[in-house]
Amino acid sequence: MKRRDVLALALPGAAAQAIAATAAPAARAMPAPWRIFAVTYRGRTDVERGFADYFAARALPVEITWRDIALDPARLPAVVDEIRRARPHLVHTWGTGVTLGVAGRWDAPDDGRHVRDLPVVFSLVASPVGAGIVPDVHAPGRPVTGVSHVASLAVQLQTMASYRPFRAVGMLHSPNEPNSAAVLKELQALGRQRGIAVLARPFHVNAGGQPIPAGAPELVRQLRSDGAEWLYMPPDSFLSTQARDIVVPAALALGLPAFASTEQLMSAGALLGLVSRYYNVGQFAAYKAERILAGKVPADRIPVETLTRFSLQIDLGVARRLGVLPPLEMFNYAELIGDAGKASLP
Amino acid sequence: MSAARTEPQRLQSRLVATILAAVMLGMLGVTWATQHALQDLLRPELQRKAGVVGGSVGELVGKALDHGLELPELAGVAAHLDAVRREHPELAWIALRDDAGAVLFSSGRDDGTRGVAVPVVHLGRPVGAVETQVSDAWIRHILLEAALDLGVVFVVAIFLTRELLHTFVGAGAAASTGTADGAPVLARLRLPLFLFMLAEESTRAFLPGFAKALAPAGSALSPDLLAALPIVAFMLVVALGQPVLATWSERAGARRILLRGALLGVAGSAGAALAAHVGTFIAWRGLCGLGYGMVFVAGQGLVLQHTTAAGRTRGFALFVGAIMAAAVCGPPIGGMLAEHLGPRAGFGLAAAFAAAAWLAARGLPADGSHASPAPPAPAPRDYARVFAQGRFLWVTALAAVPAKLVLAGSVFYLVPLYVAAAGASPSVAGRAMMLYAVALVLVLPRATHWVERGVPLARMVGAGLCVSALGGFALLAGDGVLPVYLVTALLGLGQGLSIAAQSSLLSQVCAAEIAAHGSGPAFGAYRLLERLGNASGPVVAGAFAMLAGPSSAFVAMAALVLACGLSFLLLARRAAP
Repeated sequence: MKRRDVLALALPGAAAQAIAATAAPAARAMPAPWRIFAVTYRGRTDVERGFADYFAARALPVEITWRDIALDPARLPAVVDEIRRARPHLVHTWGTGVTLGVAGRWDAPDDGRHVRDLPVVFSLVASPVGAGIVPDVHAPGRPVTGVSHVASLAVQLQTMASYRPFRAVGMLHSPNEPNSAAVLKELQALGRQRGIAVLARPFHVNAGGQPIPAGAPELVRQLRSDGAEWLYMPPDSFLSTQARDIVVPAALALGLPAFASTEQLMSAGALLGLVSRYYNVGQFAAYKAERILAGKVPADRIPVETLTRFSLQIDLGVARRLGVLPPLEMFNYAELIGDAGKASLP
Repeated sequence: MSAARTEPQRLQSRLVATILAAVMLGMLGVTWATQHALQDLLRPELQRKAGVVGGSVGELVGKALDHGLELPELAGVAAHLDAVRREHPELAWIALRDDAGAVLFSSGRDDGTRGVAVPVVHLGRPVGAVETQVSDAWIRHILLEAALDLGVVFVVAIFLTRELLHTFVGAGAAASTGTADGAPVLARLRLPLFLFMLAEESTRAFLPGFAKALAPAGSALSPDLLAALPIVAFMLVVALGQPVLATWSERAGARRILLRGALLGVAGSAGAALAAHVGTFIAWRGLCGLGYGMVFVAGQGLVLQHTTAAGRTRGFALFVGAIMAAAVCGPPIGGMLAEHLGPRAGFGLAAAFAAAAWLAARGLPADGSHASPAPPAPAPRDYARVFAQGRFLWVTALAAVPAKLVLAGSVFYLVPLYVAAAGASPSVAGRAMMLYAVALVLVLPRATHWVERGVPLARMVGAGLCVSALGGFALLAGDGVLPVYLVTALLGLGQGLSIAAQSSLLSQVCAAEIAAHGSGPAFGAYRLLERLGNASGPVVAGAFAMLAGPSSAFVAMAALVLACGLSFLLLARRAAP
C-alpha cells in the first residue's frame, strides 16, 4: 500500500479527503481511463454532478457510462446484465433501491442476477446495514462501500423538538422499501424511549405491490387527525418523488409542519430539515471510488461513511405560512431559505 | 511532659509561636487587601462583560430582523435569554426592549437598578435594546468564595509552617539536647512522611471526578460506580498488602522500603496523570496503594526501631501528626490546582510531592542491624480465633468498619462527585475535606483527654459514630454545597470522638485474648477489617449513588452508619465489660 493510502485510512472522512486532495494522484500517468457505470433512479442529480466534478477537478481519467431506470425498478435487471457483460472498473449507484437491485443483499446467495465481483460505490443509502447491503459499515465484507447521507434519527428528533416540542410524529412511507421499514422500526424504538407517539401510514400500492400516489393527501389528513404535530419524511425513494406535488402541499394545507431528512425532501417545501448536501455526498463517493481505482485499496476495506457535517435548513416562507417562526437561537446556525419578508406581504 | 521541659524546648515553643503569629498576621493582611481590591474591581469588570453578552444577544436578534422578522413576533426569545443566564450566572436579569422602551421578553428578576443597555440595530437604525443587570448576589458569592479560598490558604499556611518548624527546629533541638531515644531520626522522618501523605491527600478532591470522566461511553458499569473503583483498588492494596509488607520491611530494611514506596508513589501518580483509560488509571492507583502501604509500614517500622517503649507513644503521635497535617493541607491544595490547571496537573503535583518525599527520605540514616523486630503478622488461625469473639465483632463490625465505610464512601468518594454534580469546582470539595481534617485535629486531643479522665469508652465510640452520621441528613434539607460542609465537619467531629476511644476499648474487650496471645492478633485483625471497610465504602456509596443519585446516597450512608451506631450503643450494656 502506498504511503498516502495509509494516511487516508488512518483519518476519517473529511480530513482524509483534504489529505488525499493535496497528494498528487498516482493515476495521472495512466494512459487508459477507468470505466465507471453510474446507475441513477430518477436521472442525474447533484450527487452525480459532485461525483463527476470530483474526477474532473483532480484530472483523473474516467469514462462514465450513465444508466437511468426512471423510477422503474423493473428496468434494473437489464442494466445489471449490461454491467456484467461490460465489466467496468467500478459501479456507482444512487439510493437504496438501485444499490440493492445492482449489488443484492450481502447475505443472499449469488443467483447470477447481481454484480458480485466488481467494486460498487453507492450514494444516498440511508441505512446500508438495515437494508442488508453490508453487514457492518466499518467492515463491508464485500466489494461494496459508499456514502450515507442521513443524520442519526435521534439527532433529527432532537432538531424537530428544539424547533417545536411535540408528543406525536407522523410518518408516510413506502411499504416496499426496506430502508423505510428500518427507519420506522428505529423511530418507534426512539419514540418508546422518549414517550413520543409514532403514527405511521404506508402509501397505497398497486396490484404489483408498487406504491402509488393516489390517496396520499387522505393519508396525511389521517395522520393529522390522529394527533401528529410533525410530518417526518424519511429518506424514502418513492416519497421523494411525491413530496413536492402531493405530500408536502397536503401537509401545509392542514397546518402540519414537515421535517426533511434529505436535501431533496427539503427542497420539496418542508419547514425544517437536517440534510447532507447531495453535491458533497457525490464528491465523497467519488473520493472513495478514487481510493479503489487509483489507490488500489480493496473496496471491502473501505468503510461506509456519512458526511461529518449536516446543514440545518429552515424555509422561512413555509414558517410564515404555518405561523411557526423558528426559535431565535436557530438564527445562529441555521441556513435560512425562502423569503420571509416577501411571504409576510399580503 | 511539661514539667520536664528543658530550656531549649521552651525556646523552641516560643519560636514556633512567634513565627506562627507572624504568618497569621501576614495572611490576615493579605486577605483584607484582596477583598478590597476585588470589591473595587469586580463590579466594573462584570458590567463590561454583561455589555458584551448583551451585545451578542442583540446581534442575534438583528440577524432575525434581517430575515424580515419583527421584534414582537420573535419566537423562543425567553428560552434563549434563560440559556444565556444559565451560561452567565453573574447576570440577574436580561431583557429585550422595543424602541419605545417596553420590555418584550426577559429572563430573571428586574431589581430596578439601571443595567447595561446595548442597542439592537436593523438597517442602520436602532430598533430596540438588550439590557442586562449584574447580580449583587453573584458578586457576594464571588467575594465569599474568594474569602473562603483565602481562609483555606490561611489554614494550610499555618499547618505547613508548623510542619516545617517541627522538621527544622525539632531536628536541631533534639540534636542539641542529645537525647538517646532516636529523636533526631524521628524528626527527620516527619518531613518525608508528611510530603508523601500530602501527595496522596492532594488528589482526593478531584480523583473520583477524573475517573468518572475517563469512563467509556456505553460501559456496562455505571460511571458513578466506575468512579469508585480507583479508590477501592488503592484501599484494597493497602489493606491486603499490610501484613506482607510489614514482614518484608523488617527483613529488607525500613529506610529502603520507604524510599522504594516513595518512588512507586511517583510512578503511580505520574501514570495516573497520563492515563487515557479508566482501566489503566485504576491500575496506576493500585500502584499508588502499594507505595502508600510500603511508606506507611516502613514509617511505623522506623518509629519502632528508633524509640524505646517509653518514647513510643510520642513517636506514633509524630507519625499521626504528619498524616493529619497532610490531610488538612492536601485536599485544598490539590483542589485549587485542579480547578485552575485540571486534574492531570493535580496528579502531576502529587508525583512532585512524592518525589520530594523521596528526596527528603534519603537523609534518613542507613538501615542498621539493630532493628527491633515488629510483632509477627497474625496467622489464619489467629484470625479465626479473634473473629469468633463476639465482643471483638461488636467493636469492629458495628463501630470500626462503619466509621471507615462512611469516611471513604461519603468523604473521599461522594463529596467530590456531589460537588462536581452541583456545578462547583474541586476546590470546594478540597475545602470540605479540609474541614473534616481540621475538625478531627481539633477534637482528637480533647477526646483523648476525656479517655484519660475515664469517660466510658463504649459511650464515646457509639456517640462519635452517631455524630459522624448526622451530617448526611443535611442533604434532606437542601441541595447546593453547604450541606456538604456539614457532612464533613460532623464526620470529623464524630470520628475524633470515636477514634480516641476505639483502640482502648478494643484492648478492654479483648483483654483475655491479649493476655493469652499478645496484642498482635487482635489489633492485626482489627486493622485489617478497618481497611477493608475503607475499601468497601466507595462501592456501597457508589451503589447508592447509582440507584438514587449522590444526594440520596449521602442520606443512605448516614442512615446505615446511624443504625450501626445505635445498635452498638444498645448492645453496649451487654457487651461492655
